[in-house]
Amino acid sequence: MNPLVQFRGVSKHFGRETAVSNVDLELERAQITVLIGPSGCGKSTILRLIVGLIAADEGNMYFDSAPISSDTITSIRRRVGYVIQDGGLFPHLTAQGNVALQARLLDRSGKEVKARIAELCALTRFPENLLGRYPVELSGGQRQRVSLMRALMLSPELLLLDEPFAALDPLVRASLHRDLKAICARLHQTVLLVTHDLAEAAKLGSRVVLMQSGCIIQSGKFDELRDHPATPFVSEFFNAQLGGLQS
Amino acid sequence: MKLSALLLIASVATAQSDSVVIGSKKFTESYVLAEIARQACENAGVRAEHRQGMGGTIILWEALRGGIDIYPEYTGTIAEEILKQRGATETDIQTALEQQGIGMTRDLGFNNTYALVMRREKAARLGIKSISDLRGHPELKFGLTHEFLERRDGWRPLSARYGLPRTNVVGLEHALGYAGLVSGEIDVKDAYSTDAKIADYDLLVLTDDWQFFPQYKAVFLFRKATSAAAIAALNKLAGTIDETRMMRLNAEAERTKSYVAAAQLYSGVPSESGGESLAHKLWRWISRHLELAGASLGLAILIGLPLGIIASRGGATGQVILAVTGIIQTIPSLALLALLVPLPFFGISVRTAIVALFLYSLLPIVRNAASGLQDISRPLRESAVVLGLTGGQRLRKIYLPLASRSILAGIKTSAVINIGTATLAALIGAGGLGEPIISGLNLNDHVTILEGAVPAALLALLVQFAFDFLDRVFIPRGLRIKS
Repeated sequence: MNPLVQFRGVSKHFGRETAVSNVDLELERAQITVLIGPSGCGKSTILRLIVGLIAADEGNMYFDSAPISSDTITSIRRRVGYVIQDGGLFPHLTAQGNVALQARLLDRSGKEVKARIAELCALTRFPENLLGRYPVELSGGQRQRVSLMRALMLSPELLLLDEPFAALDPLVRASLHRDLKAICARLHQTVLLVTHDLAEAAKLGSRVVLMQSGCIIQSGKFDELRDHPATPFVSEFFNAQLGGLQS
Repeated sequence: MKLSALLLIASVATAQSDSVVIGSKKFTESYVLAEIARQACENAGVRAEHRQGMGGTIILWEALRGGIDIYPEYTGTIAEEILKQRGATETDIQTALEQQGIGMTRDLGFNNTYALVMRREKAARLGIKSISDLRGHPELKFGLTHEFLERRDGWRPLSARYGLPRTNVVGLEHALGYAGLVSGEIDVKDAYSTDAKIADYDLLVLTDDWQFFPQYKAVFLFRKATSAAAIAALNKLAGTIDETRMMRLNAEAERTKSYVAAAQLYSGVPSESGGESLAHKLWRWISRHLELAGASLGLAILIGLPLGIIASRGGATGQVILAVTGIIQTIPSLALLALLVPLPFFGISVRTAIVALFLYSLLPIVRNAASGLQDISRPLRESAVVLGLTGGQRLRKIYLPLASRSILAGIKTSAVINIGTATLAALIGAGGLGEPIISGLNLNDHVTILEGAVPAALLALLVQFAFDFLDRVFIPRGLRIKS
């Protein structure tokens, strides 16, 4: 089967800064791909390019073999779920209002929406009795579960997660890691997860893509990168984060 | 919808031919004469409305081409200020006015010329009897009305002719000037020779020993298109009021605090609208006041909100919108009214007042909407975009609700300012709570001023409370609760 997302020689500059340089990338279906690297390496830029928040300066991008452009972006967005660090939940809407927003605006029936939300609550282990609460009334972990529900509402083909667990405490993060993995396995969900945390990549990723200064340095299974680093930077990055754990 | 209906009613009301609108200037005698004319028209079977204290000569003269049909004027003012022909005879004046489609009645029987007045004891102490005696006293403080300061037959030529010192001169409102004269804060002021205050305060009228002031015979000016019955009624008033009688009528107006009563003293016929109760008057003022403030606020929301949305996007257009609304705000409200009145569509009308108030309400609404929208964080904006919402959906479902607190705060500011500024609408005959304030000012009557000022202040407070309540309705609960 063809890859869901394909980048061919994509570059993006902000003024004189290069955010992403000549990137080739393929996202295989039903896999969790983890995009990892130090802050400012361009990993979030890749996500923003896919959902059309910014446009590429050079190169070609494809979603399900169709080019990503301003003409196609609206329909592509409906096939993509997006979760950001602090959830991006709208504070004026309840949890339910946030989750149902997209479906409502697409004129889905109330019954259908309600059934889907019940399904998602079970899937993300979000207590249904909290659906009437506003974001400020929820904990950080609960907010991310709502954000995940909102992203999954329309059964997207691609789930984009931009450091979704970075602001959570370790226990909540671990619980969300387990749940996310279970959800993706169950839904055969294609996921692109951005993180700077190697432990997260090790736990979740079937494939790891390491970036540095806007370029992809190495990609493959976690063990491959750890055991056969392509450049000194790769081993340095692994040692810096995993060193403490191994000794 | 309501607003357009209101504008329609306003324009239809001024277009009716079987009724006349009479204007008056901002001083007692003008009010009384206009009221006499109104009663004369009503008695002749013509429906007449009196728009009180609309302003000075220029505003009334311009209004004669639009908002009003009749107003009392003085021959000297017509020659000097309107036609700019010094020393024109009554026949000259009549011919010149004729060419502009304006008619003039014969004079009412008195000459209300300008005069300079002083406290009698002070004048006696300094040995001053005539205007030329003032030359030797540069220490005297002059408190003159703004109109007199600017008139072609006013202060500048007068002081040039007599060689009077010009250093100690301030501009003052007419009625307040009398208070200043009595309390000794000023020594000399301009007056009309039939002012009731001259007798009341026992003031000395300085002799115009070099005959500077022209004749100011009272007449009515009317549009030629005015109904014949009304013109006939006005002409019957010619030659019926001499100086003494006018001074008595002015005194009656100031004693009873009612122009209607003074006009009744003239005709001896009680008018139907004479005995309006305070409650009824208050109701009329307040409802008109709310109408003015409400219609202008509605218009400002309708236009200001879209402008604010455009301005929030930044760029040159946004800058221009904020700059222009900002500049409008800096124009003094009186000046804005004066600028609008001569324009063809506006004139002396409720419409003009609403438009002026609307212009003042724009800035807070536009600026708060723009800044409220700009303050929405980037993650929230991007979330809305990525969810695939269209531009319109993002605005309606996400951005406007998120900015609602700021937008409502802007509307509230405008509403409260509007309640205050709407008192100025009375200057152009648009009514409201400014009506008692301005006539009270002219009558030097604090009670009448308070009849307008107190309800206006209460109304502003009420509006403030009403909006605090609206906050609960319009600001989504999720934005009001604290975690």
